[in-house]
Amino acid sequence: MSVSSKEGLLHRLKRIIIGPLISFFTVTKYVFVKRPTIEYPTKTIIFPDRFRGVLEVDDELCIGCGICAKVCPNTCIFMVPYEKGKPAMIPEIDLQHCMFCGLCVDYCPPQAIYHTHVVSIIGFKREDLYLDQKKVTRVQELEYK
Amino acid sequence: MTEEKQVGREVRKLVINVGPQHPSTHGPMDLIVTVEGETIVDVDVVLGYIHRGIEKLCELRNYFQIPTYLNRLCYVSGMFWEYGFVKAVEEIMDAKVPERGEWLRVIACELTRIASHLIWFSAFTADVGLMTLFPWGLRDRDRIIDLLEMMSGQRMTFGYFRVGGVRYDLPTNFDVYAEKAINYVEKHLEEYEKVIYNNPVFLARTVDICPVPASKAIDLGWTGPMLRASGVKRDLRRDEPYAAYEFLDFEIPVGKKGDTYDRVYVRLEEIKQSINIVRQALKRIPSGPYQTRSLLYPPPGIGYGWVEDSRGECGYMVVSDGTPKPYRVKIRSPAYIHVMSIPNVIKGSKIADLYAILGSFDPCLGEIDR
Amino acid sequence: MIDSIITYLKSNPLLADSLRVVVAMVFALIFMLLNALIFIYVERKVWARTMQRMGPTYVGKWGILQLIADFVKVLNKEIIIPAKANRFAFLAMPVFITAVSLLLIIVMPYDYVVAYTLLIFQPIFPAISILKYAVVSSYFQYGVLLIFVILSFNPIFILLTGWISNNKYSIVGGFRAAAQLLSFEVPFLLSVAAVVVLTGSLNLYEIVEKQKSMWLIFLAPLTFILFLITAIAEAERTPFDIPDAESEIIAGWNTEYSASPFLLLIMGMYVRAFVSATLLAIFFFGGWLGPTLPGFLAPMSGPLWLMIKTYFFMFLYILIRAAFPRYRIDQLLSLSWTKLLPLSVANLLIVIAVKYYLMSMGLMS
Ligand code: SF4
Ligand code: SF4
Repeated sequence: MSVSSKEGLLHRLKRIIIGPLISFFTVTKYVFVKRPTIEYPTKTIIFPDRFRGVLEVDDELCIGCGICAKVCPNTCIFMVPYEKGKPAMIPEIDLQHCMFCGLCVDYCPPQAIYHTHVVSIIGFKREDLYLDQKKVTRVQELEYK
Repeated sequence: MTEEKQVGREVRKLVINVGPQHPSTHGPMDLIVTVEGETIVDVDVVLGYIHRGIEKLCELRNYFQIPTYLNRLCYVSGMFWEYGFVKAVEEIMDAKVPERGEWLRVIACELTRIASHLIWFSAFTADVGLMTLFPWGLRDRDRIIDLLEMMSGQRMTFGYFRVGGVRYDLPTNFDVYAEKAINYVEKHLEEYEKVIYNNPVFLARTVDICPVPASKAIDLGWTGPMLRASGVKRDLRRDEPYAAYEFLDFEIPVGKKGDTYDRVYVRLEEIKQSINIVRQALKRIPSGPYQTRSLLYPPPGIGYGWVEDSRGECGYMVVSDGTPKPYRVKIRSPAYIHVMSIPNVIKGSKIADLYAILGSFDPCLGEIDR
Repeated sequence: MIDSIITYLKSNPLLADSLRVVVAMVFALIFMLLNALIFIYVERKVWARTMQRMGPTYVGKWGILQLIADFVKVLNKEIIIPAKANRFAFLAMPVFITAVSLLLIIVMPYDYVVAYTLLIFQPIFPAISILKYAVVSSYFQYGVLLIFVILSFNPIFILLTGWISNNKYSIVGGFRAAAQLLSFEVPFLLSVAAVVVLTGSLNLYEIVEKQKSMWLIFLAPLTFILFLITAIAEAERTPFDIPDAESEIIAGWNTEYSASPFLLLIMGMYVRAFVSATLLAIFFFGGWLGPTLPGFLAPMSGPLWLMIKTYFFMFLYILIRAAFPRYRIDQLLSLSWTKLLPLSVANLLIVIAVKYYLMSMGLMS
């Protein structure tokens, strides 16, 4: 498709006249084409299974070993004594620092910590984005919507 | 806002400051351009506005944690940046990657290349004033990103690679989805070509703008599509085959003159080749394990890992001293080399072309400033 | 009562004339502002469609009220005046530009459109037929000339606007805009001259009447193409929107403007684009000629056809904007001087020959 100065007059005329028309009609066609947009707040998409959303901890499975806090690159998991007593320690997660890398999930021995499909992380205060031990087990219920 | 009068030549030079918040510099980058009339006589590139100290950060993290940060170097081609590091560490450890892992790496990389070239294409068309194609490119990229999301769990910051393989296997029915998305992109790729290659205005803006001959491109240390646009058939995937590329059948598109048009042409052709590679790989991928449980950290040694990024050759030098954390990580960013060579190639171009030329270099400030 | 008013006005022609002009101006102004809004809305929607975006959706049904919301928002903004700019001139320039652009509409047959559309209520209010007298634009014997006199003010004002802002980008944008407008003025005028030669009139109404047998597009397609290209350039729209090439010189000559002065500048630009779309319809597509509507809608058919044709060209403008990138300033100027100018001179000669031939055949007066 390169342009040379030696091309024939006819070819050149064709390029000047037909060319713009082709590109014009290719664009014009799109006035009538359905748009792939998903209007977010009213409609939502379905995430793939592996999607790494906000973390949640299952306190029945968690053994309080603290591996998740150790492997977290951003050190945003803090182990605190659990109110209900079993397990003795439970992770609390600072969502401001979490980058959803999923390392904590990979290294948790009983797979007690896992990603949910919750994505809207909204809050008016810093504390709203801190999953303390009450919130961290009920992320899907609270949904952060 | 400085104007100086040159003694003797009576030419008024005007210094225009482009950036760091200019709408079309693809990120916070400052170009101090000296113009005589409409002609550029000098450019100073000022970088470092989003320096995040990733190299230093790498020294403070364990080996298995590092790839999660590296995809943030350039979030449009994150897979490559993880791969380069992983490759360097594997070289120190002499680790074997299972066959399926290698093929999965090829698929991940080529999908990322398509996504990266598509987003570059969108931005470039916006630079020459064809705003309509901007969302088209993003729309198609979104389908590819969906595939990568299925594979790795995240849309841009994948965290897919790990030393000794990849993190996840292919999801079920991936080839069906992939075929759909790839066909979608391929169909639209024809449309892009129809719109731009027939467009007299687009041709006027790209043909013979800022041509760089092959010898100069080599001298400047260019790699990747930029070098191939100048007519040099150099591709790490073919010259230094890694992963499963030696089993794959693909062509290396090259340009003729190295002008802006060729840089567009080469990248669009590369998308086609990548589509071709993904198709082959999905068909021929062997079954088996996709990762090995390896040592958490390598023995002392130095390793260099380089892969063919969507912008050129991205390289990592990793120095290990036998502790769980690397002693030093040095990143070679192709876009940095391309952008820093702008002053060498741009002299004599028109100021109005500056943005088209800059756009055709595919600068990514994330990896340039690191 | 109406009759007595008419008799009184007939005895007092000066008052009657001024009244007619005022009514016509009010009509044309309301019409123009409404259509500029519609133009902006349609442009946003159609352009979004070609881009596969949604365009405005949330405010009102299909985002119809989005423009009103934007309008209010812009009015609420602070008017920022650069420290180095001349305060008075900086604020006066947008007013001048908009005023000059709005001057165009009194010559254009917009008062005709509004008056005759209102005439469909004649069966209910017979008195409304008085509006027929409010169509003043048909009296401009040299209307075409006047339009181009007004249009040729633009480069000066734009250059001044860029200069007064005292900003590097504005000055560069202003000079570019002036260079572009000046260099396109010549082929523009030459292609209009071809139209005038063919129709033998400078009055828009007569030009339309002359096309009753055949629309000019069939007689002089080359003139049409030349006029289309130059009209787009004169309206500063893509692919000739170098003056406000947003990726190169921010927003060109209106970089420093914000809030309501900016609104005025944008308004002026859209008014000019709309006027040139109407001119295309009038010059080449027979203006309001077309089949008459049945029944009480009959008086409205002329305006309707004119509007349909105008909106057709509006869509064309929008789609051209969507499909083409932007020329570089030097390429643009060389396009104008080395390609369009010789072409339009040749075109004028061809048109004169055609006219001579048709006249000798007795097909045209
Ligand atoms: S979530 Fe898993 S890794 Fe973390 S403390 Fe509980 S059991 Fe251990
Ligand atoms: S996802 Fe990553 S950053 Fe977030 S808590 Fe887990 S390990 Fe830490």
